[in-house]
Amino acid sequence: MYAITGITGQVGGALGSALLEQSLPVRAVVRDAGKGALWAARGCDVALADMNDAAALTTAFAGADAVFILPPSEFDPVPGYTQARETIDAIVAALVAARPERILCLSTIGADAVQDNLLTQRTLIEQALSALPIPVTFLRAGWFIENALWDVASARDEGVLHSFLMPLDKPIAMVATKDIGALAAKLIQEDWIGNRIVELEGPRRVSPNDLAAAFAKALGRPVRAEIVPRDSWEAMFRGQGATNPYLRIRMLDGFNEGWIDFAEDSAALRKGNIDADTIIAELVAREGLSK
Amino acid sequence: MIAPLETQGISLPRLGLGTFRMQGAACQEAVESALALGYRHIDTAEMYGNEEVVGAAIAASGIARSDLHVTTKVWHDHLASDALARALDASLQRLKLDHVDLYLVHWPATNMDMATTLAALMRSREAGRTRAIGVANFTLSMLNHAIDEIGAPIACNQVEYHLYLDQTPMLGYLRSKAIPLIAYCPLAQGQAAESEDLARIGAKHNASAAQVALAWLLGQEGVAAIPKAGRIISQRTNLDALSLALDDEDRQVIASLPKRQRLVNPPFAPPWDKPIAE
Repeated sequence: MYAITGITGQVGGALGSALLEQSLPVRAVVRDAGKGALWAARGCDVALADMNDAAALTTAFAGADAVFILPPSEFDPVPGYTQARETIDAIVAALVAARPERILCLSTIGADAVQDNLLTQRTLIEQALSALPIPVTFLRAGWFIENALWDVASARDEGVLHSFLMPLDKPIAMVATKDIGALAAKLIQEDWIGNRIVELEGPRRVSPNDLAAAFAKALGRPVRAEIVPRDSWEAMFRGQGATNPYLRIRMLDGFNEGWIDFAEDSAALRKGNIDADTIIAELVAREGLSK
Repeated sequence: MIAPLETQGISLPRLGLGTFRMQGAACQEAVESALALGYRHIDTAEMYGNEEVVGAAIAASGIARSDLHVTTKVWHDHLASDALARALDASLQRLKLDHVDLYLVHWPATNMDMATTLAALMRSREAGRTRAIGVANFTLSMLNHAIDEIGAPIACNQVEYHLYLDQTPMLGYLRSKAIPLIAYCPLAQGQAAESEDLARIGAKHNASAAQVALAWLLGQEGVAAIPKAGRIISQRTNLDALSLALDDEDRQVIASLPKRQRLVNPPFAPPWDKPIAE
């Protein structure tokens, strides 16, 4: 049986669906019963657990061949990552108690960076799970192409993609969440020893200009990428409610300055099949055409 | 093996190991294996956050300090006089070395006082904390200022250079001063390995596309290269590229590739020199 956290999200959902399609037993670990109803209807066992609740997680992980850990995303962490550390402690305690045979943990490009930034939370969970006496695979995924969801409105209404990534022609390792889910479904069924890292990006690297071109194609109107000047970020992020925007700024710096990236000769790197044009077309079809 | 480049009193091995984005135990293992394979030129920087493990690997190698070339770099927020001296001390402490062979300005800063920074670099050389000083990511006008006007003993300019980015004007200037160009991103962030043109050239010489890209650089007068390589197999194939000799026909094919692809262009980069007309 595979216990899947984060199953109501894009990656966890793709993973859960892929396993169900192969008629494999899945336990959906969800925060509330309402969110589990859909998965129950699809034939999953459902366990209720908050990611900070070690006891509930222990019950949810009990008897699992493998557990998929999707660490919750905190976009405005407090200094010192107190919340992330509490969640990690609960996850670790539950894994130690439930002793699944294997763990697959979704991590990120940049989890190996030493610079403090938004992705440091993933560095911390990698460190914590690496110390467990259970084989762990860390699936480090590139920038989600689906992040372009936030650009649909401005691309459609203004013909502009406001880019925090720069320069506009710099190709970034991006990946579709469906590719991540598909690879996760393979990895979680594998046998391995000790800790391993698998990196995943899409078939081709994608620049902000490429994203704009994909929007133009999907919308049938010209779309150009424009840089959001770095010195306006802090005020902008604070305006959106962030109390500690520095970590997000440093993450973006990491992509722009190149210290968040996969190694060129990495043996761990795999490539997905779904390109940015396909995903942007889907986002536009879903959100974009009708105002 | 090609002879090292002599510059400002140091001998710079033509092929070095770049370590950007290599961290922790993996970085230490990579530097240890490179040194065991015969690399004698290691390139790090305070910004890389790996000087401690690079230093540990050097210590573990048992290679005589005088047989090894170590470069580190000062980040662009430490270019004031006192800050630069402190940054070098901190780098040396992390590296557990009493000197480096080359200390570079990692990136020019818009507000930098060129004369003050260069004077601070020269003082660190006089104090024996580095054997030579140099710069990275400098444009022609910045080099002109540093070398021709201020007269600093610059031992290299480390810049992005690969078969998809032309550096002809830069090479022309540096060669006129007998100063080496150290090529970073020499494999164009993995793109060289994917080129069919290069694969065809490689097939002729029983080599890989990436080896062709590297051999093309190392075959040029006054050029050294510092490919990152975390895996032993890539470290070895990069070393093997030193003995690969391309012919004129190969170079013609490479000359016909597009040459304007700049891969490293962070927001704080200087306004780059104009590329040559195509």
